[in-house]
Amino acid sequence: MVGEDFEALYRAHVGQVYGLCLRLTGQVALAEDCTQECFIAAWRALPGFEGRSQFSTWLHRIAVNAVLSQRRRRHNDPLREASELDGEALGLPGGAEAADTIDVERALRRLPPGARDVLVLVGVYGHSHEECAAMLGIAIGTSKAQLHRARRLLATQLDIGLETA
Amino acid sequence: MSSETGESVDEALARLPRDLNPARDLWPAIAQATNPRAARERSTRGLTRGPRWPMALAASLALLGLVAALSWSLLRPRATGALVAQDGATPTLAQTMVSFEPPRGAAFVSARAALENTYKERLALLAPSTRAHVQADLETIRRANADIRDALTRDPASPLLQQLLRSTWQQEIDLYTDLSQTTELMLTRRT
Repeated sequence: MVGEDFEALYRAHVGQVYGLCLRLTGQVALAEDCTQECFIAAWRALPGFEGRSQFSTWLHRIAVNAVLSQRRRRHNDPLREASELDGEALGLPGGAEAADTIDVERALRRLPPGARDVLVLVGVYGHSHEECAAMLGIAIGTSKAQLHRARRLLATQLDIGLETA
Repeated sequence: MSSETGESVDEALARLPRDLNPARDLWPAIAQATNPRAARERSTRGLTRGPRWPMALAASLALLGLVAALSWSLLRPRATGALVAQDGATPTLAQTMVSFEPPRGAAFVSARAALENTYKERLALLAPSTRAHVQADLETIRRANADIRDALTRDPASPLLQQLLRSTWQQEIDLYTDLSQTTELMLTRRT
C-alpha cells in the first residue's frame, strides 16, 4: 500500500478512531496521541491484516491497545484527571441537541473506567461482547456485567429510564 | 435531560455521533512516521514547484531563529558565568570556536566530531527538561539541514538556500558550544 492509499484510509476512519480514543481517555491531547499511535501501528501491522474481521473492528482493536498502553504509562501521573469536555472539544455545533449530547458525554466520563470502556465499545460503537472482551482482555461475562452496571449508572446520572418508556 | 422526555439510555447513546473529528490535522505526524522519505519529498516538491516556497523558507528561518533564541536563553546565561569563573584556565575547544565556515576538510570534520562527542558526554549533566529542549532543538536543526540539502539538489545555485544551509551548520555548532561551556562550569564546581 502506498502513502496516498493509507492517507485515504486514515481520512475515512480518523473520526471513529479519534471519537473512540477521546471517549476512552477523556482527554483531547491523549486522544490525539492515541489516534496517531493507532494509525502508525496499523500501518506497520497492515501486511498481516487477513480480512477475517471488518477493517474498522481491526482498527478499533489497535486503538484500544493504544489507549490501554497509554493508561499503563500514565498510571502514576498526577495529571491524569480528565479535562473538561465542551462542544468545541467534541467538534459539535451549538444548540439544544448539542447540549444534550454534551450531557451524555459528560455522564459517560463520570463512569468508572471499566464500565465506561464497555459501554463505549458496546453501547456506542456497536461491538459484540466477544469483540469487546477480546479488545479489553476481559471475560465475556465481565463485559456483560460491566455493561449492565454502566447503563444503570448512566440512567441514574441522566435521570432517564433504562428502557424506552 | 430528564425522565420527563421519556428517553432511554439506549436512545441517548444512539444519538451520540460515532465520528468526532480532532481539532488539528493528525496526518502529518503519521505520514512522517510511516513514510518519512515520502513526507520529505512532498515537502521538498512544495519548495521547488509552487509559489509557496518563499513562505516555507521563511518558516524555516523563523524556526531556526526560535531554536537559537531558546537554546540561548537556556544555556547562555550560565555559559557567561562559566567563562568568568574559568578566567586564566586553558580555553577548551568549544570556547575557542566562536565562528565557523562551511565544512571543507578534515580539520572541520574532526573539530565537529570533537564537539559532538562533548555534547553527547555532557548532555547527561543537564536537568531533564533542559536536556529535552536541547535535544529537540538539535533535532529541529538537523531536520532543517536535511530539507535544505534536498532542496539544493534541485536548485544548487540558489544563494538563499546556500545561506540557509550555512546557518543550520552554524546553529548546530553554536548549540554544541553553548552546551559545552555551560557544563564546563558544572564540572568545575564538582571538582
